[in-house]
Amino acid sequence: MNPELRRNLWLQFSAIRLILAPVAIGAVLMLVWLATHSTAAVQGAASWIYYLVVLLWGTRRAADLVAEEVAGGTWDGQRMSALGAWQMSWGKLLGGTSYVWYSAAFAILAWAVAGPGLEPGRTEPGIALARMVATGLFAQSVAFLMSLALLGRLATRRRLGMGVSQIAGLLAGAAALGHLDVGFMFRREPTVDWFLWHWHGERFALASLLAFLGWSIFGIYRLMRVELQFRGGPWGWLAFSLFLMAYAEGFVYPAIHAAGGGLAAWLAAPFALAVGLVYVAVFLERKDVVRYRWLGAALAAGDLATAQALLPRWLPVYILALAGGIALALSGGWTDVAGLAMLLGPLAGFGWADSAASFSLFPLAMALYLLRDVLVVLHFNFGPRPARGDAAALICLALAYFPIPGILVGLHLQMLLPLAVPYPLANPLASLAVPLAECAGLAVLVRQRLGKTPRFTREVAATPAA
Amino acid sequence: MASIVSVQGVTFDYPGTRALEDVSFTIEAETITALVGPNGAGKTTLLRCIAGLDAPNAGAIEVAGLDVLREPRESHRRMGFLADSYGLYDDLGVEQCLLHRAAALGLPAERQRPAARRAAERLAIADRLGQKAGTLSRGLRQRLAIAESIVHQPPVLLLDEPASGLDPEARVGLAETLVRLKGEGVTVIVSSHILSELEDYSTHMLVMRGGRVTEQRSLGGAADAGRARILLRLARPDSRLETALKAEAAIRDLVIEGLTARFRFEGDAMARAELLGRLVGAGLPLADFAAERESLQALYMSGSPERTAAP
Repeated sequence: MNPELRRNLWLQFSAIRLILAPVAIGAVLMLVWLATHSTAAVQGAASWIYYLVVLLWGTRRAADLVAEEVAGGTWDGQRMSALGAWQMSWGKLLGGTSYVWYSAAFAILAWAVAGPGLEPGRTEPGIALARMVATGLFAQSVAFLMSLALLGRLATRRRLGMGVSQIAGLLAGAAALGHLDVGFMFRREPTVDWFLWHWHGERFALASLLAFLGWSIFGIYRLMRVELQFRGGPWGWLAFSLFLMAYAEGFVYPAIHAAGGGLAAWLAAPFALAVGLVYVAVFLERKDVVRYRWLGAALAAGDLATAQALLPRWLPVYILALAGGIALALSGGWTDVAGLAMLLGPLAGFGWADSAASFSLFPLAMALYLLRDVLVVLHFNFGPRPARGDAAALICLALAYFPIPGILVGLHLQMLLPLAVPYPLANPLASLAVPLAECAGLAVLVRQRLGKTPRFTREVAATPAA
Repeated sequence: MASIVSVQGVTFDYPGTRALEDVSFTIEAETITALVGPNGAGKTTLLRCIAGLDAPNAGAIEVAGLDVLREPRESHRRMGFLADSYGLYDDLGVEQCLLHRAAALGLPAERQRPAARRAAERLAIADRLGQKAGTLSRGLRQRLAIAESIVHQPPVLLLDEPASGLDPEARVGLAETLVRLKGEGVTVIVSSHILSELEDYSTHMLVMRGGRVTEQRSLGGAADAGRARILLRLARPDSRLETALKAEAAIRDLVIEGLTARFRFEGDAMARAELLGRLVGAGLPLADFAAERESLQALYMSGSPERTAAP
């Protein structure tokens, strides 16, 4: 048996706990039955209990799996073991939540006994059951994944890290349940058109859920590898990004195909997703200045094997975004977005003659502003207080994107908008030159912080105690 | 004796701080090396790098023939590490803790229970196997933690400040444990800034200052190396003692207090025997003549920060 799974089973189960879960759940369901004498009500209650257990309790457990070990001082011991990343990942995820699933199993049993298929629209109990289980697993694995991503920065702030990770897991669970409208995948449509296939809505939702569950477990495995001192690299995130772009493209494909859209139409969704995924990567990943120094040294030495392992996750996806921005700019498809021009027209301080060219260049400008924002994040993280780097960068970017543009418009200084945000109606030259200049300036600042020679630790005491 | 730990050119940076600078040394097998130095000297970082928990920027680390940086997981089978802030699974029994470590370190199922029993016996906690770890005293927790570190019988054991927080009795127990492990063939590297406890069991000393190894030496081997510190005691006062000792060219740092004289002697065992013969021949009433083991504190304090490492 997986040693990590066995350890968790030892910790999770005791004779009292084995009895407690079925008794507590049985008592609640008995109460519902006595109050309603309705199998549908019992089934509904069982469903509620199940989701409360696997989502609220399960994500909390999953979010704390590693944090509790760090706080308890046992994590170094785990890292010193000879277990592989995969063994450690699934042993922890399933073992750490084993009692949650033991409890949830009674709720599922009650749900099934009370009469599967009674729920409106659920004609296939097998799919409904699979989706229930997959939703719980997905929410818990996202919470675990997030806790690993935050481990380096929030290790000393266990409650905050656990809270953020649990919220991520709950959001994932809510999305899987359809309470968050994140696309056709989770809508209860009778059919879904994805690329040229017509899918049964429920089956498509389940297939999508399983795919994202697989990716979340893959993410856990990749981050666990890093924790266990295996060399990684950004390729897992790049693969997920490509999957997500292809997945999203599947929904717009039928419409674009029917309308005979050009290159811009095909690239728009992947480009927008790539931009978003760069932000996600750059904020989630640890921005360790030492690691960037190693990367620079490896590149300078021509050691490509080491360099690829040290590449930050945001970089390959940024290259995709930049390529998409260039392709969109060259294709000129965005000049057709007349509606946006009409909306922004009153704010624009520029002639309409320039707008067509500006719209054409807008995707490329967005890619440059994206690079500027990444450099802002790196600049703060390479500073004297890296622990506060992300918060400082977030505040700085929030100011640039929200109040400052409003103030500039209020002062009728639209011509200065490109200093803060990408602005489609800016002068074509300004829309590219301004972010380029900002990137150059920030690159110099980042390079300065990157190149600072580390100092020795200050010796606290002159001699050891006798 | 063959080296079992080799550290070559290791440099480690924290953001804004260089913790280790070009650290190089080797450790002989079946020795206990005291890793000493002031707070912030890099002792913990060095141990974590050797344990494969942190990867240095540059350099190479080999433990029991394995490259730790290339094969961190495999090298964990050949070493044990007890961190300064170690933890135990308080809700598990002592035997469960040991069984888990044995399994996590890759021991086959049939060897796990015997290995757990043996580790418990080595650390004298075999009578506590059924007790929850959370109910153990601090000294017993320390022993359990060390037992976990050696359950797979590694040839190398790394201990970071193991005596921190232990009472005097538990410290004596720890010293006895480490000496016993050394006798069983384990090579131990133990860091501490409490030198008095290290000198009870250490055979070697590695001094770190400012992220560098400034000195490495054998302890108690000074006499063999020809640099003995001699304690001489007379049975009754004799005014010829000072004259006789000052006439010896190989004697340094002579201090005479009453019946006792202390000095450094530059010479091997044969030269010491000849000195003893001359003093007896001169008619001095010698009661004691012995090579003193220098205290770790004295050795540490005599080390110059500018002195370079002796590999």
